[in-house]
This record gives sequence, C-alpha cells and structure tokens, in this order.
Amino acid sequence: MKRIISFLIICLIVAAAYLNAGGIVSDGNTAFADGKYSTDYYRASSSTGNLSEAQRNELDKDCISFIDKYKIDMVLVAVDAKEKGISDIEHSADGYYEDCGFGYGKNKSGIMITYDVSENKVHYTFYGNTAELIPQKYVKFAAKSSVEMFDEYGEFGVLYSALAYMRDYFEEHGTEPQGKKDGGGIGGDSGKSKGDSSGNSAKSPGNNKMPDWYPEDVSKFEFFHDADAPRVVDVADIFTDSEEKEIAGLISRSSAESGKDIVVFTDVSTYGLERKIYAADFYDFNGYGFGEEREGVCLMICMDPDDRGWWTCCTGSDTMGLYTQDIANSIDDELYNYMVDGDYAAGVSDWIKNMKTLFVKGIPFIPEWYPDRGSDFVRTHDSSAPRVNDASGKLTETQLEELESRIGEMSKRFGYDIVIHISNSSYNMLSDEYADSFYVYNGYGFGENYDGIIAVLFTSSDTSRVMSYGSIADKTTEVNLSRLESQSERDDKYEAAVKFLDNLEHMEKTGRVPRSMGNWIFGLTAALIIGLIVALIDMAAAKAGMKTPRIAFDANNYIVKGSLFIRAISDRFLRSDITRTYDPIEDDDDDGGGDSPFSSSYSGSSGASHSGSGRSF
Amino acid sequence: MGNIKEQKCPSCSSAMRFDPDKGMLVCDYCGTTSEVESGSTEKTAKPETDIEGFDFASLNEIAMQEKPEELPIYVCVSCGSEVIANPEQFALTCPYCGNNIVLTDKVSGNMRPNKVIPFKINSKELPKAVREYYKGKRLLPRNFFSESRIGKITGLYVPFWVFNGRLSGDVSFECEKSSSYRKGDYIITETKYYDVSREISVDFDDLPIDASNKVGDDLMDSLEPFNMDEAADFNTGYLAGFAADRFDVESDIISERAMRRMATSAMSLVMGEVESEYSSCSVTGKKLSAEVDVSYTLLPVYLFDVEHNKNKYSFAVNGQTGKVVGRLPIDKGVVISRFAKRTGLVSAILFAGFTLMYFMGW
Repeated sequence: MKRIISFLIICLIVAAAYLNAGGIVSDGNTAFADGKYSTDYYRASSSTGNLSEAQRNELDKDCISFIDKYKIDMVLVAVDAKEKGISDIEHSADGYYEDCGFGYGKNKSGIMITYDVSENKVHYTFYGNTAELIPQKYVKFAAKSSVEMFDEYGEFGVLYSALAYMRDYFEEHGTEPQGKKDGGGIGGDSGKSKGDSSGNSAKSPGNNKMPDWYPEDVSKFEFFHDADAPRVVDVADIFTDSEEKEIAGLISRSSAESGKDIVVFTDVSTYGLERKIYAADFYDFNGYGFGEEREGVCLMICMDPDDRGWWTCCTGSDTMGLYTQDIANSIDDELYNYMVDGDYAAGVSDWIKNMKTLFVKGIPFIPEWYPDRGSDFVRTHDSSAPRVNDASGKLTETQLEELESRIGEMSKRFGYDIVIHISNSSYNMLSDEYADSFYVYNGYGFGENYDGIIAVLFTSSDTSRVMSYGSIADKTTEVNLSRLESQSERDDKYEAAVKFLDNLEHMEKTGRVPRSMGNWIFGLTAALIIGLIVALIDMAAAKAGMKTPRIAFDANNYIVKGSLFIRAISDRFLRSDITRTYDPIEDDDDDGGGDSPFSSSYSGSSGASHSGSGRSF
Repeated sequence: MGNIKEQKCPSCSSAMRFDPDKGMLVCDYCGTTSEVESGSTEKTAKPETDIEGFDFASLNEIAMQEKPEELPIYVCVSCGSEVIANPEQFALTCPYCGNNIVLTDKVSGNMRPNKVIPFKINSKELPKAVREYYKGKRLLPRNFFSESRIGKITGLYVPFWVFNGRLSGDVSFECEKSSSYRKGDYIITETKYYDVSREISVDFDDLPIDASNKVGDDLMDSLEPFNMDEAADFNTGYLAGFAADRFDVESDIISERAMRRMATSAMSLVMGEVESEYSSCSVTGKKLSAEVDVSYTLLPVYLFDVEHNKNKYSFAVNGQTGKVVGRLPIDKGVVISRFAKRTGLVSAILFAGFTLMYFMGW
C-alpha cells in the first residue's frame, strides 16, 4: 500500500512536470530490446518547485547524454519527502523507477538519484548490475559531496553534481564490472541490486550463502503472518517422521490453548550468525507470530558439531514479559537434561508443555489447580477436596487414609480446616506464596474467614511451610509457626505429617508448640558453655589477685608531664609494591542462579525486538 | 674492726629508736624524745652524676671485696659484745643488748646515701593492713585465717638508685602505607614503603631502681610508687630501730634496668605517633641516650613471711604508703569448688531463663 501511495504521489509530481514541459519527449517505446530505453518521461523532475524548466531540461539532456554514452539509465528526482509523507524514499524510488518503465535494456540497468530536500540527503539506487560497477565507498562519497552544492546552486546544483560524480567515475573506470565491490547486493535473477548512500547496504550475513527463506534484501523485508507455515522445521533431521508429527500436534494444541505461536526449528548451521540472531531471523522472516505484536516463541536447535546448542527466542511484549531469567533457567535446566542425552523429541515436547503452561498460567510447571492468567477466580469452600494432598506420591494409601481420618476428627474438634500438602517443588514461587495459593485455589477453609491451617511439605528441599488463616491466626504466633515448620522438616513425609498434627494438638491444649528435644539440648549446652566461660574468667581474675608482685617494664608513671618532644626527621619514600587479587564481580545478570545466558531484549536482522535464553550441549 | 655509731638516750643512755608515728627518736626506757640530727654534720661527697659517666666502680669494689671470711667485727659500745654484720648491712640491732647500731664506715664517703624516706607506717599497723589485703582473696585455704601466722617483721631501708633526667635520641622505622581499589575483577593493592626517622626527647622524674639483691625486683617494683617529695637528706637517726642495707647490685645492671624502663616508655610514645601516620611500622634502628642525675636513696620497706601449713609466703609493705604486696597460697579444693559453683550457677540461671521463655510462648 505504501508503495502504491508513493508511486501515485511521484506520478502526480511527474505528470505535473510533464504538463509543464508541454509534452512527451520520447518516441513512446515501451518494450525494449538491448540498447533501447523508454523515453516516455522526463529523466529529471522535482516536486518542490525549486527547479526551473530550463534547469530541468538541462538536467534531462545530461541524463539522455549519459544513457547514450554508458548504456545505463539515469533518473534524477528532487522531492520533499517529509512534506509528501514519504517514509521510505527507496521504496518510493523503486516504484517510480519500475512503474515509469525506466531502465536500459533487458536488465533495466540504471541509476536513480533521489534528492530528499527535507533531509538534505542524496540516495543512489542501482538497478540491473550497476551496483557492481561502482564501489560503495565512492557512492557514499558522491552522495555526501553533492549535497554540499545546495547552498550555492540549490536543487539543480545537487542533482547536477550527483550525476556528474557518476559520469566522472565511468569516464575514468569504464563500465566493466570492477570485480567484487564492497556492499555489493545479493543480486541475482531479478537483475536488481542496490547501494545506499547512507551505508545500509543489502545484507549478506557473514558472507555465507543464506538459506532459501532468508530475504535477498533484509532492508526491504516487510513483516507478514503466515498461518500455514509449518511450526516444526527439522532441517537438522533430529526427529523421526512420527516424532515430528507428534510435536506438530502438540504445538497445534498448545498454541490454540495459549494464544501464542510456538515454533520448533532445527538446523545444522547458523550461517555465521549468533544463535539468538538466527533464531529471531527464522521467526521474523517466515511470518510466525500471532497478533499485531507477533506473540510467540521459537526454539531453535543448532546441531552444528562446532556450535551445538539451542536458543529460545521470545517475541511480543506479553511473551517477553513472561519469560524472565529465573523461568528461563528453570525451563532450560529441564531441556538440558534431555538434550545431553540425545532425547530431542522428548525434550522438545517437554519444553512445549512448559511454555504452554507458562503462557496459560504465568508459571511454568505449575499444576492444574493453579488458575489461568486473567481468569476471574472466585474463592469458594470445597468441603469435598482431600485434606491430605500428596502430589509427590510419598504416602501409601493406608497412610493417606489414616491422616485424612485424623485430620477430619481434629478439624471438627478445633473448628478450623487442616490441610497437609506434599509437593515436589514450589514451582519457582516463594514457598509461602505457593502454600497460600494451594490453600486459596483449592477451596480450603471454614467459614467466612476461611479458618484453617496448611502445612506444605516439600520433598525437593525437605523444607516445610505452614500458613494459618482466620481464627487460628491468633494462636499461631511466629514462634509456634516456626516450630511447626522446623519439626515437620523430615525425610519421611508421613512422620512429618504426624508430627505436624501432634504439635497442633499440643498447641491447642497449651497454647504453644513444644520445643524439639534438639532445641532443649541446644539450650542446655549453650547454658553450660556460657557458665563455663564465665567461671573461667572469674577464676583467672581471682588467681591474679593471689599474687601481686610483678616486674615493672616501663617508666610511664615517671614521665614528666609536657616533656615529650617528637620531631619528624625524615619520611623518605623507598619503593612501592602492587599486588593484584582476583575477586570477580558477581554479575547482576546471574542473580537467578541458573546457567543460561539470558537476553532481556535484543534485535534480529529485521530490527524487531526479542528476548530469550539458550545453552550449549 | 669497723666503726660504729649508736643512738644513745641523752637522759638514761639507753638505746633510742626512730618512731615512724612521731617522726622522732624515742627512748623506750625513759620516754625521752629527740629530733633527728640535721644531716649537714654528716655530709660527705655526693655520688650524683650522669648515668653514662657515673662511676659505680669504686663503690662496687668496696661492696664486693668483703668476702664472708673477711667480714669485719664490730664491738657493741653498749654491752661490749662482738657483732658480725653482713657486707651490705649498715644498720642493725645488737643481738645481745638490743642496742641500735649504725656501721658508719659503710655510710661514709661514696657509700653515703643522698636521701632517705623515713618510715611513716608503724609495724603495729601491719597485721591490720595484711588482713585488709586478704579481703577478696577468695582462693585462700579455708583455715588460712585461723592457722596462718605472721612471722618476724623486719623494717628495712632498701637501697634504691633514683633517676632523674632526660632520654633522647633518634628512632628509625620502615613504615607502610596501603591503599586498595578495584579494577575489573581484581583488587589492586598498592603498598608504599617509607624510611621514617623521628627525634624524641622525654623527661623522667624520680624513677626508683632497686639496688639490693636481698629483695626480689618484682616485690620492690610492685611497691611503687614512693612519694619522693617526702625524702629527707640522709641521716643515721632515721635508721635507728630499723635494719638497713647498702646497695649490692652492680652498676651496669641498675643502669640497664633504668634505661630499659625509660626506653620502653619512650618507644611506646614514638611508635604511637608514627603509627598514627602509617598503616604499619617496624623499628629498624634506634639510638637513645640518657642524661640523668642519680641519687642513692633509702626507701622504707617492711618485710615478713606468713606461715601456713609449714610453708612461708613472702610479703612486703611500702613503709611510706602502706601498700601490701605478696604471694598467697591457693587451695585447689577451693578452686574446684568455686569453679563448679560458678559454672552451675550461671548455667542454671541461663537454662531457667530458656525454660521460662518457653512457657511465655517464646
């Protein structure tokens, strides 16, 4: 659309110029054999009104002369891009050049010089193989030098000068290709390549031949969405057909549930690019992503023997916001174990599930009971929910029943809910946050204040967390909570649960949770040690008093007051030593404690913003 | 045969003694008292001089040449008995008639003390002072008070050399100044070394150094301080009723002790000054010299032993200030009992507090 608008604007400009000139200068040819070119339009034009007719004719004449001599089309345009609302002047130039039928011969060789008055900048655009004829450095030099003519000669001077630099170059070097030119375009069958005076030459990353999906000219790439593009691209061939099919199905379901595009891409090389750039480029240049911000994530696995690793590339503000460094480390930790074992399909499947959970619930790995992000949670009482929830599978059926029965009886007696939850992890949440979530989201608690107490016993760290709610909160002082927790930290989770209930009974009877035997022993030992130290100090003082004769070693008591005189005679510098002690500064980026390099924001070749993490394996 | 001088009562010719309470000579027989004679009539040459140039040699020669087998025999003018005195002893009591005798040939010429601090504390006050000293001494055997006995109390004028003057010189140090700063992953510590030299001068007043081998240095050092303002010109009258020794420690040992004590104080002062400017210093050299006057002074000391369980424990009392020093017996049973009680008491209090905290919900 932009191209069309630009084209229309320039057509209007040129049409006006044409009418002003009083007619067409050409013979009306529109199909060209070698050596032919269209002369339907003036080669020189301006939309600013600052170019007189005589000046335009003069420039046009020079263009025709140039074309005839070097067999390369030459077009000069002056335009106020800002005033005309043209954001991409090169796109507009392309449209103008092609739609006006400029170009010499079959390859439509030519050079279009566009002078943007608002920016006071000259753009050279090369067509056919002309970019190969002139070094990019010279083009930059010509662009920079020609704008300097504006102060003295106005638009005419700039355009004339820009043309003259081209003519001078061909005059001196001829029109034979000069070998490989710096900044040469990807080129190819289209017969069109470009150089840009501002230095944004056409991309050829790492001087490697890029894969087919890589755009010829990155600077001209426009984002698009391709819903039909495959979400599993296994160039490295690490998945079997059935695995690939299974992963694709999983992706399809996960994407539908999470509303995020999920892509898995494997390759044997990154073509000289960093992994994170290559992953971003794959995502950007293949039309992935949902919505305006192209929300989604791409797992790029590189199987290059010299650079084997992966990068998780996140796109879109919501996805990037969810994928924090801590979460990246956790997910990468899991994926790493699969990858080093060569269990790629299982690892990728697990990764997809984790990413889906992250997108849906905001926390990876979290169990189903945790509500989805953005859902309207309404707190309820669920009397049917089990009061002993063993997510770790550590308890036997008998033990579960026994605990359930005891809790039921105690709950009735005490008048508040009692819950024991055994979990392998707190799923990247703070333990008290996790315990609280479990209690709230599973409908525990009696009465309008949700009276109750929950003990979460973590198997991974053998720690525990106790939270209390409503009426019992008064009884569970900080000391009582601390004792309930510390005495429930045992390997045997059944014993831990029983101890928790025993202590709860004791607390109800006496108002306090008993100290552990270890705590009493500690108190007694500490008292004895302090007593011994005090007695030793007392003995030392008493013994010192039993023997008073002591040799005097100084004469401090006999110094005459005010008689001390000290004078500096010399303070002569002798030498200096420098020692270096290695003391690395802790990197703030590593605060999460994981091993994954993490980028909170970076840009791919397209310029779009991404975040991500990755590891080698 | 040596020369002697006796303090005779002008009224009844009995022996007189110096009474610390009255500060006068007293005749215990007829009660006559008399002032101690002015020292001017007894004056001889002063030995005061700089420590470096002071010639102790002649004194030492005299002191050391008197071997036991050549000890002079003195005849008591009161009863005619022959009395043998130790070489360093110049005031004593006749063992036969109790007459107080001063051996004048030992306090004449270079041997004559310059000053004397008379006794101010009476020996009768000593048992009370000792009892005070026992207070707070909790490791004494339980039967110490009932079964200990104070032995014979000897009032003795102990010879001291008293130093007045200035210690001065130069002291050299190697000092360091360190500064640290971070550069990347490294802590850079730059240490600069300096050759530092300081001149010091400090004056000392009335530093007493014990010149008697008879009494331990630690005992005498612990009796300090003596108030030298109360020192009187030497007069044999102050010696009546007391024993007195002349110096018997070699001059180089005395001067070395004096120099060491003064130098320790001076080095401490200059070190403190330099260390305030540098992060650390070590002494690389020092050249200190003293310009001092030395006076030969007799200081009043009571010596006695306390006997307990057949053991003797030496004590000394400053005859001027009443300060008591000494060694007391330590009862192992008392030590163990006290240690166990202290440990038990403190532990019990702490554990009770710990238990109380539990019942208070802590």
